[in-house]
Amino acid sequence: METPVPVNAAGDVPERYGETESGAPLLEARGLSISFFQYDRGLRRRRITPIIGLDLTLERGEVLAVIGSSGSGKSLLAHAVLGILPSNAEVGGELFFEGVPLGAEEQAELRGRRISLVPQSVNFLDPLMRVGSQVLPPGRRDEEARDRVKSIFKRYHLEAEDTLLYPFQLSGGMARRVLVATAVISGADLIIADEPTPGLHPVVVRETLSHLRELADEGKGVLLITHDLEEGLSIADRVGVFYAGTTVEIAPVAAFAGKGERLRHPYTRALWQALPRNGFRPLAGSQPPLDSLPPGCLFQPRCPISTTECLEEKPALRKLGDGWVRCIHAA
Amino acid sequence: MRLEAREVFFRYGKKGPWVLEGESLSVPSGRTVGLHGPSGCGKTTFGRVLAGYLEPVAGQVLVDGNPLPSRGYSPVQMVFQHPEKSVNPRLKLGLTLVESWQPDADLLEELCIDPTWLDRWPNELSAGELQRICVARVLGPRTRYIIADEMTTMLDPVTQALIWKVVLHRKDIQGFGLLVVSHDASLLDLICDEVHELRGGSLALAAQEGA
Repeated sequence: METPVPVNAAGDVPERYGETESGAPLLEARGLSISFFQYDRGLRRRRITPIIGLDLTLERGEVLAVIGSSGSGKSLLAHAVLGILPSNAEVGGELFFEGVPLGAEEQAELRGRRISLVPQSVNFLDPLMRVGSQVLPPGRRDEEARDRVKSIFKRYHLEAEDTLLYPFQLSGGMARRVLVATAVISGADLIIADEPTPGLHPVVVRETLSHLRELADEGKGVLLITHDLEEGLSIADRVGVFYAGTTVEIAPVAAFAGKGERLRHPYTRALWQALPRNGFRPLAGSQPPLDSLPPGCLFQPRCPISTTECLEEKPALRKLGDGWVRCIHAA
Repeated sequence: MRLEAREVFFRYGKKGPWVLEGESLSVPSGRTVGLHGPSGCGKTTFGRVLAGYLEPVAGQVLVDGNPLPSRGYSPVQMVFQHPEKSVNPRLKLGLTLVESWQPDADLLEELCIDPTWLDRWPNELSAGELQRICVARVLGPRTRYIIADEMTTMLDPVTQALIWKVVLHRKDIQGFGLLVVSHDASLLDLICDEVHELRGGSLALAAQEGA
């Protein structure tokens, strides 16, 4: 296994996605694919591929928002990084943490310590365990660790006595703060937040998002997985747009402005222009079915600018200006 | 012609906190009315009371001046936030689609419902695809009012815009009344003729304090 090679000469455009001038990113996915066999009637199986050829990088100090529609399989990305996919998943491509390939052993070593998850809901907590005990890092039961829990709880406006509560005794807002606190207590460098806000009061949503931003400002890397483009734009540095299992574009937040002239992929522009405040323009069609993906560009069937070349092969993610785009027509 | 709630009170259980305390609302035929409020303030409960899924403790719900029918097809139809929970998981989608009427081919085309989906099971489609089926299912001629409860909250913006374009177009043709329940103020401002803020009962106040 080789580590990614940094590009040294200033001004050189890296040939491949993920090769950065500053060295290895905190997290990198190269051509990540995840597929499953699903049982249909009886013993008939069909292969579905919710993630295909996904690339992304995340640097320290950065919030990268991955935006995808719900049910599109983007949570699998979080599960793949943590190494907690179900056993029937077939994983292809490569994941790197600080340039080191992430295998099952590394993942078991890193998760809960250097990689932490802020899950969707309080249902991810053990209902029969006091919250103060279950947020301790793996293998730590000592007094020092418990004191650390109390001081971090305090930072999130939770009292020392709150450590004695069971999950069902928490309000929605408190539960959210406990989940974020868990990630902080672990001291993880990489924090993956998977849809951290649906169904929450707007005050709690803003609070949760600002906590994630703060963590990035302290030098951690935050991967925010969400279906809500506005939410992503509110705290991210860059936005990765997930379509049919792959990242079609990774753009700086500043590119989401005006009519989307600075966005390079036609799907990203369509997303931007479909927001209620930007014209509410629909896009006809739907994503290709997971068990019969087209051989060419996955967006081609709905694309307003597609040509016959788009049918031939899947475009690679390539650097263009300050972002990355997976479209042969982008300029 | 209107769907009306008059001084509706509702709580879960006999001693629970009031979720709705004397709420009134009117949805005229052919109009789009928005219902806004933070999560936990009782928007969904109010929608369920208006659709007849819940019986108010006090107050009335009237459809064109009459109580909701207790049997047969309800003229008030609700579309929910989570389509995967609103369809029978053991029915292929072709059967779910025609549960209440036979949607015309034009409608399926407008909603971009791929004919191959109809031979699939619900767990094979995404939320955005299932929600198109759920929307087509309620757009029949016997529907007089539609309550859209966070209908597109979980969907991507392009699917959201597509579904609303079709529903608003059909509303103009068929003249049904539309109640749009959402926490998204920019969406409500864009599509509604009027927007009401749900102040909610004592439960909502407690939820806000707890936040």
